[in-house]
Amino acid sequence: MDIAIAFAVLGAATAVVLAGTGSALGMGAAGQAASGVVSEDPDKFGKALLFEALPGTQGIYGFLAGIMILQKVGLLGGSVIDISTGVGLQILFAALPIAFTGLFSGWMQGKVSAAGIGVVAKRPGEAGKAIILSAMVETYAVLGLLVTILLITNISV
Amino acid sequence: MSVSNMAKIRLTVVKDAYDGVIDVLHNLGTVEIEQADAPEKDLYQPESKAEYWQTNAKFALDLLSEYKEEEKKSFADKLASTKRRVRKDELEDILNGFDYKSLIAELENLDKKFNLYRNKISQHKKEINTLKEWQGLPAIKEKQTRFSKILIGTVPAARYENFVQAINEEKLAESIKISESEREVRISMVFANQIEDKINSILEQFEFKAVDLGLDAKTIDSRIKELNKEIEENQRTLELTKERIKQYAIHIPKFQILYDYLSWKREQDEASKKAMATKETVSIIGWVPSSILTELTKNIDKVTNIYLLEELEIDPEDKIPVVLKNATAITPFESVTEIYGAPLQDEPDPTVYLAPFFMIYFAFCLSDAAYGLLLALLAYAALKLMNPSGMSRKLMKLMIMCGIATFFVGAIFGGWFGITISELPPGPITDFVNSIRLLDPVQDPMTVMLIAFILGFIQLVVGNLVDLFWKLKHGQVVDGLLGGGIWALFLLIIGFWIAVKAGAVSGDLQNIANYSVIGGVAAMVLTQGREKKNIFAKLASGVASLYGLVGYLSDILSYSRLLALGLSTGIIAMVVNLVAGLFAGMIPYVGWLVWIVVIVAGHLFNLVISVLGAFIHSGRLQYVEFFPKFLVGGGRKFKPFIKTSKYITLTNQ
Repeated sequence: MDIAIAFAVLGAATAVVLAGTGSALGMGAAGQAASGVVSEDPDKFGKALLFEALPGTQGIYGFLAGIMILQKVGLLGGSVIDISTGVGLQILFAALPIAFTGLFSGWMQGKVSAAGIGVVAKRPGEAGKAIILSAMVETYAVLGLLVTILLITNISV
Repeated sequence: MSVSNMAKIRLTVVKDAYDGVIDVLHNLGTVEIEQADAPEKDLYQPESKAEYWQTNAKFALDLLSEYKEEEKKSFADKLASTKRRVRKDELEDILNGFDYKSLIAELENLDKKFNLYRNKISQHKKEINTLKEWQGLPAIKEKQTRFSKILIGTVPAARYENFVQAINEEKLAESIKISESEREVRISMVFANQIEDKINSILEQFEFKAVDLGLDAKTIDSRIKELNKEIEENQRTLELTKERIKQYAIHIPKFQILYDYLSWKREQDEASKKAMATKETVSIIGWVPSSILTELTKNIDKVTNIYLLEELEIDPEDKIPVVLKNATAITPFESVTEIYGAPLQDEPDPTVYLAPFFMIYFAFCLSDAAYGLLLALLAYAALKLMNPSGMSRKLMKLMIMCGIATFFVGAIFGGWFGITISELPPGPITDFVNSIRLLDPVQDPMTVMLIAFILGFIQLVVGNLVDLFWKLKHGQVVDGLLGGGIWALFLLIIGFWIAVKAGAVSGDLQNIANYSVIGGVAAMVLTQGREKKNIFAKLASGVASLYGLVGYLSDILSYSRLLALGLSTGIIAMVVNLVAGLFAGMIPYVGWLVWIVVIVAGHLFNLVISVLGAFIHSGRLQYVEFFPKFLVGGGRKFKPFIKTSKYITLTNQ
């Protein structure tokens, strides 16, 4: 069924696009703050980069979900598996948890990271605490990814 | 495995011996100096210009390193970038024979000269550019004669036409266009003195701006030639100055030593400002771990014997600084505790309790045996090459330990660079890898999740037991038993009940399990409201405490991240292999080269982000889920008075 595969592809695309957008927004915010700190003190580049990288994981999670879906339906090499429309829709819905948690947690984590870069500027020794604060936001993307992975592996084709 | 005992001391020395004593404390680096509670006039005022000269030494270093020839360093050297080791007597010799004051003065002069000539050159260049705009202007011998006047200047381009018209109406005036740009037209004009007023009003009306080219009857071309010659001369002086500065670059190592030496002096000055002084004595108040008190006395004895070291009584108001003290195997985990902050002085040091959990969680999150081995090797290499100190050193050691733990957990999960083992060609290696593989997280994620939950459950029970034992040890028997104690028991009962329900334990125990739960609930309701006065308030608080179970439930669910992060490491590794394979198949002839690049870069990337994620999330499980069960935290970290240096390490021999 072509339409079923289309749904699966839509699922993969949604996961990659939305989670990736979340990361892009987050890294954008954090990156601007990071440049500000680096312009004052180039030695802090490493730490600033770390903070910019933190909201990047959501995009990777989305990418991961996308690849899992493509592999599930045989779009990555090999032959495309024949699935019913219902299964196609199931795969689409399975992609939604990481798509949306990735979008919003990536974005918000970027904001927390941007604020955390202030800690790097003022008290570089305490940067670890700011990293943890930023990672708290990621929890929900991790949970979203978990449910997406469980759903995709357990949907029978 | 605990928080060190601290002593509050007062050290009083005669002024003559003070400099020696403060140096001893500084070298020892185990005393925290506290601000003396005294009016400003009673505080010690060190007389030293360390700060001033340190700023100057920094200037010299910055200047010299700007001109220094870049020496070629190998990558390993750059990575190692260890501080130079300098012996104490060497340091004194170098500083004694180093006339840095006159050297700095000389460098200041050279720098001033350099800037002066550089400015001159840029001014001249600017002048030439302006002159070039006026190319074609004839030489003007005299700007003013008895009858006429010559003016040069600009008119806005938009108004030029009207301006020419207005000038042409006057018989005794003439204007010539020299050149133009988009914004303005450059003109020279001549007019009779008798109509000067009229001309002036026209000029004002059309926003004429007079320009002084400073030509003094020379032609533009000859002036440009003149300027170019000057530039050449100045350039030569500039180069000479540069060469002279460069010659001083050999003093860089000495300046570095001086810089560190002066920064130690500065640290001593700042510490000394916290001390109290009388006419003859100086006294310092500070904190020191009790265990090193004798070492402290021994060291001070070496420089003076006229001093008084008293141990002061600790005031309840005092915020005692906290030093963590752990067995060597556990110290790397202090880097995890330190991120959260120190416990209070009367609280347990969580490091030893979190160590095993942290290591296992990290291994679950990374979950690839090959990555674990790679991480351990990289961290070991970094430790040997860079020889870091303090927090970084602990972190490297932690990575080695966690890498090894990952190796074992990864082997159990069958994670080897994300290779799908079932697709490997059969052979002894495949057989071996399969034989040690006990679980496949991708095929059987629920089992791994269950293990994660059980680990979480164990950690939460341990957290409550730590609370219980710590309070028992410190005589708070009731608080211990009814706080952590009863919660640990209640959690175990509920765990037992769930195990029976799930069929993990014989169903015959169902009744016992049920009664235990009822008993547990009753115990909670009866005890958890013990702080309330009224009997009804007691019961209400007791019932409300059961709501705490929801908190425990969400705590345990939070451990599911172990599965998610583990899966994501494995799947990204798989994707890297897949993408590399696709490229290799697509590109003819050099496909294998692209394959190598993608494999190496991809796995390194995955290793970095997965290690970062594993560290952060394993840490979070300690800070958010584990610590609150037995720790308030917010202790004051011990900040010893210690020599910090940028360039050198001081050695004794």
